[in-house]
Amino acid sequence: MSLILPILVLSGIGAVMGAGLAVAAKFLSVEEDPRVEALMEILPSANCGACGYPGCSGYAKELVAGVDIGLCSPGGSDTVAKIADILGVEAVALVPKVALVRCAGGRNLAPDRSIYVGPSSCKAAVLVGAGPKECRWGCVGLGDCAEVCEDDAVDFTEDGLAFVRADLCIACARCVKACPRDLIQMVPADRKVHVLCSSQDPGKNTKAVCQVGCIACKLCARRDKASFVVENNSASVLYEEGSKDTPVAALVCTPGAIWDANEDDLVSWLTDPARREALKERQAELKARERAERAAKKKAAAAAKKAKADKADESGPAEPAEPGTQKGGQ
Amino acid sequence: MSVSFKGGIHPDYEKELSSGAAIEDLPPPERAVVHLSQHIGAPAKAAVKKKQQVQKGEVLGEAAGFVSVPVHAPISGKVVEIALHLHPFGSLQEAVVIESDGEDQWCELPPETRPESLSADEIKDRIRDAGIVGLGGAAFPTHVKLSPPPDKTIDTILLNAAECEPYLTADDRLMQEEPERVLSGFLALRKVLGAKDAVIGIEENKPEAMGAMEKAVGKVDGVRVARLHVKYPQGGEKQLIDAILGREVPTGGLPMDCGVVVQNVATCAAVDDAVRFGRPLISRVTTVTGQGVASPVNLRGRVGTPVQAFIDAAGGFRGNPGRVVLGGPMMGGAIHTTDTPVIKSTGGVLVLTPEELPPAEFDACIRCGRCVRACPIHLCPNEMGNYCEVEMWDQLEGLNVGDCIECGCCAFSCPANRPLVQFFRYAKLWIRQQAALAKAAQSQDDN
Repeated sequence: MSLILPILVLSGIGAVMGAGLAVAAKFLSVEEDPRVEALMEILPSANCGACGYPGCSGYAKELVAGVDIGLCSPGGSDTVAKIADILGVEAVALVPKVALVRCAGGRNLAPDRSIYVGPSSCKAAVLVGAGPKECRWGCVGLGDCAEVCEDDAVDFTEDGLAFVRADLCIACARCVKACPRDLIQMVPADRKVHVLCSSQDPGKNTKAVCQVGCIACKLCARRDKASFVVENNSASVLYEEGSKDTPVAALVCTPGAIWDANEDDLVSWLTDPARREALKERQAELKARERAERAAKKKAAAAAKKAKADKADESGPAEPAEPGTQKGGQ
Repeated sequence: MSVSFKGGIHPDYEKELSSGAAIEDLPPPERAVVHLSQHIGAPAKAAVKKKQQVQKGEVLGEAAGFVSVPVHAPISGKVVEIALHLHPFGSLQEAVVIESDGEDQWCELPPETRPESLSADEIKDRIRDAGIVGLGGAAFPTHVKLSPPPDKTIDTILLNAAECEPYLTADDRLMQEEPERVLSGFLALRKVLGAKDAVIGIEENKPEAMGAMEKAVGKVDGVRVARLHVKYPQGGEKQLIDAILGREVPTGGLPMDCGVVVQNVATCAAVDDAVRFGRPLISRVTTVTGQGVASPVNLRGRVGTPVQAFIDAAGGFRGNPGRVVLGGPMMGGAIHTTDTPVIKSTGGVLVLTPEELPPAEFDACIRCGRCVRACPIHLCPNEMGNYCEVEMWDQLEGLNVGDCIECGCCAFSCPANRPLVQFFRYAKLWIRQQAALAKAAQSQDDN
C-alpha cells in the first residue's frame, strides 16, 4: 500500500503535465516556415558569414524573407540551384570566387627597412613607424589573414609573404577584412591572369622598394583596355563582364607584376626565381617575334609600294599613291 | 617640499650626459626637407611652387583649417621639390625641399614690438601666423589651446618645465640660459588667456634652472615656481595639473575643462620670438644624447635638417648604434635611417647602444600588479593588455583604454616585458575603426 500511493501520485502528476504540454504544443506553437529548415539542410553549415548574415541559419531565415539567393560563396552554384528549387525562384549563376593576396614582394624582393619588435600582428606592426616594410603598400607577413582563416588556406612563403591556396579557400572573405593594408581581393576562381601588386606610389618610388611592383607603365592596359585599368599608379584587372584573361599582358609587364596561372602555379611563381627568368625569356621571345612581324610588314608594304611605282612608270604619268599603302609602310 | 601625483616610475634619468653642455647653434643645412604635416590636425597646404626662390621665414605651407598651422622656410634658397618624403613617424608625407643659397636671409618680418603693447587677439594672431605648436612632443597647435570656448574660464596657466623624459635636457638648458625669454613668452600666453594665476612647475633635479627662473620671475604678480618631485611622467599634462593644483581632468576631456592650460618651456620661448620679433618657428633646441654618441650636446637646429647632421655635431656615433630614437626613451619613436628630417616637435635625438636595448621577446602576464601601481592614470594595464593580446575587444569596455596617455610606465615596470603600450595603441585603433564603421552605418541608415 505504502508503495502504490506514491506511484499513483507521480503518475497522476505526469499525466496532468503531459496533457498540459500537449495542449500547449497545439495552441502556443510558433509557426515556422518549413522552408527554413529545408534551407538549413542544404546550406553548407560553414557559418562563415560570407553572405553577410550571422551564420547559415541567419541566411536561411533571410532567404525566406526574400534576399538575394546568390550570396553563399562556399556553397557555390549547386547550393544556389537547391535554394532556388526550395524557394521556387529562378536560379542565378554564381561565379565561384577565391581570395587573392595582391602582393608578390616577399622580403627577398621587397626588403624590410627596419626590425619590428612587438606583438605578432600586422595591424600592430603597421602602427609602429608605419610598419617594417619599405614598401608601404605591401604584405607585412605577420599573418592577420591566416589567423582568421578557418580552412588553413592562407600560407606563407619562406620570405614572409602571405598567399592563398585556391583549392582550400571557401571564399568567406574573412581575410579581406583582416588585412590592414587591404591587399586581399575576392577574384573569380576561373580567371588566370592577375596583377599581384597594390602599390599606389609613383613608379619610380615603387621600383626603388620592390623588384616586382607595378610601375604603372600602362603596357597591360594598352594591350587590353577592357580587362586592365591603371588608376592611382596601380594596375588592376577588371574582373567584371567584358573583361577576359589576357596572357600577353603578363608578357609585356616589365617588372613581372602580372601572374599568369596558365604558365606558373602560384607557389612556384612566388618562390622560384627560375620562373621569373623563364618569364623574361618569354618576354624576349615576344619582343623578337613582334619586331620580326613589324619588319615583315614593313618589308611587304615597301614591296607593294615599289610594285605600284613600277606599274605607274609603265602606264605613263604618275598617279597619286593610295594613302592606305603609304600608311602601312610606316 | 615638493609635490607630485600618484603612480609613476623612477627610471635612470641620465641627464648628466648632456645637462652641462651649453646650447650651440647647428649650422643651417644645405638642403632642408620641410614637412607640411608637423602638427596634430590638418597638414598645411603648399603655398610655394617648384623653382621658387624663398627667404628664411617665408610661408611654405598655409594652415588648412582651424586646427592647423602654417609651415615656414627654415633657410633661404630655392624650392627644388614638393614631393613625398620620409616623415619621422615612418610614413611618407608631402614635404617641401629647399636647397640653400648660403645667404640665410630673413624675409620681411612684422615690426618689432613689446608684448605689453599688443592686445590679446593680436598676440594670438602672431602666434598662429608663426606656426607655433606645443614643442613638448605632441605638436598641438598653440593658438587652439589659447581659444577656449566661451563657456570655459581659464583661471590658471601652467608652465610645464618638468622635462620628465630621461636623457633630455633641452628645456633645462633653455631655462638656465634664456630665462627672461621663456618668462616673457609665458606671460604673453597668460595675457591671451586672461588667467589669474601662473605657475611654473620644475622638477627638483634641475636646481640651476629653478634658480634662474625664480630670479627672472622676481616680483611679477601672480607667478610662482612650484618644486616638483622627480618622477616620470611628472610632465604629463594631467599629472602636472594633479600635482600642482590637485585638479583632475575629466575622462575624454582637456585641461581647459578644469580651468587650466599647460604650455611647454620651448613653446614659450618660441612664443616670445613670435610676439616680440614676429619670427616664425623654424628652429628649436634639441638634445643629442645617449651612450651611442661621442659627446652629447644641446643644439639649436633648423626644422628640416637631417638627423645625421645632429649626430655628426655630437661627434658621431660611438661604436655601433643599437637604436636611434627621436624624442625621449619613454615616448619617443625609433627611426630606421638618419636621413630622416627633424620636425618642430623633435626635442631629442637619442642613440642607444645595442647592449641597452630591451629584449624582443615577451612572456605571459604573471599578475604581479606592478603596472597597476605605476599607471599614472590609474587604469589596469594588466587586464587591458591581456584582453588586447587575444583581441577580446568587448571585454575592454569599461576599462577606459582611451584614457591611456601612452607614457610607457606599465611596459617599463613589467617583469614579463610585455609591450603594453603597443597593445593599447592597437586597441585604440580598433576602437577608432569601430566608431568609423558605426558612423558609416548610421549615415547609411539616414539615407
